[in-house]
Amino acid sequence: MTHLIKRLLLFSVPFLLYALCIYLIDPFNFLGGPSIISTEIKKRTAYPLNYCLWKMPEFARNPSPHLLLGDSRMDALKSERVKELTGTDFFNLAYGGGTLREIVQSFWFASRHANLNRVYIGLNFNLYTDYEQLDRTAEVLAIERAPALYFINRTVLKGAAFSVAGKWLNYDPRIGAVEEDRETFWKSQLGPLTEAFYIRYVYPRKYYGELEKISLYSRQHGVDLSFIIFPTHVELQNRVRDFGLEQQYASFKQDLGSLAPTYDYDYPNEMTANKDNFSDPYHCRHECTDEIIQEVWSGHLKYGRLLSGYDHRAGF
Amino acid sequence: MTALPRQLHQVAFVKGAILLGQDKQDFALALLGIAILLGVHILQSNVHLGEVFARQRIGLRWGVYYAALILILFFGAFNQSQQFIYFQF
Repeated sequence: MTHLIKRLLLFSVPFLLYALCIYLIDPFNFLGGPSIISTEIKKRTAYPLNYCLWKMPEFARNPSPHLLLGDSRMDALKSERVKELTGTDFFNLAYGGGTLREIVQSFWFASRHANLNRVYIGLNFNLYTDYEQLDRTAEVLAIERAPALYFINRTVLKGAAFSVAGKWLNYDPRIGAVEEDRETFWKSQLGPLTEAFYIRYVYPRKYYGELEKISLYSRQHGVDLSFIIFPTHVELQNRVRDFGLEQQYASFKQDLGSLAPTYDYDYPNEMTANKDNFSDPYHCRHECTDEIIQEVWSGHLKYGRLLSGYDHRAGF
Repeated sequence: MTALPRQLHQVAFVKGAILLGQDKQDFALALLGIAILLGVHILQSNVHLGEVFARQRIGLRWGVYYAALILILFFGAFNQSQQFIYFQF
């Protein structure tokens, strides 16, 4: 029996050493203990592997009643700038490559950790589909329920390896970095990427229901909920027509407008017609993001328009 | 059927209909897992693998144990909340 216990202990040594390494590296700052890798390195090497795994535990540690949700377009919105304007701290719980499913999950996650007061959801037409099922929040929620899963998570392992290589070998994984020139990237975003979004577009009956629940919860709990439809370049707006999705696009705006005040920037106007305002067809430059912050939080709309009970027959 | 060659160039079609919603790495790993399963199944019809394995040196045996444990721990579906598929029947 003693022999067996000795062997078991010996057998478990590599696993214990591995667990110690993860504890000391803590690539997503989940454990909150002393770490041998700086947050600056981890932001470059681990954070882009799963934004949810970084931000959700951070929110749980520092819950805020004021929240920003969405994808990379909302993520680009500087909460410091909002604070300058309003004096209110907003937690930006938006993720690059975010999906509607992740937005919904993050809202309920946040509502469990904070008494929400003001929530802005950035939502564009390409996210408003039942087809896209990517949900990176699932592994975070699983880890929240059973923290031991953090040690056997492949993203954590990859993040730890990248972080070690980043610290001692000066390795930069350049996750999500654009290697093509602007024109080539612009064309690939308008072409294959948009095709991937629109060719299998499914009107989101399921997720509209989920947004209805969020809207209802917000009304019942005094949460000031708003949507922001970020500007996309007119060339991308025209792709909606190419795929025959005009009706679905109109319904998208009508749906959001019926659920909460919606700030709409995604229509042909001076801002969306100018290619210089965009880094790619989906993302406007920070000057435009600053303009949006200024308009939404001051209430003086110049390019944006407020949808409420939006009439889809008016077209887009 | 005539649309298939064109669809094979579409990212969404390949991901949804060919890779069953998985990324390429996970899909390749699943295929490898099935190949190992079938390989062991075929071998077992002729050889008693347990006995052969027990006769191997400790280093090899522990290596296999570690590999199996690591595969289960890192590739197990611990993050999924859905029930086992047969529960619905």
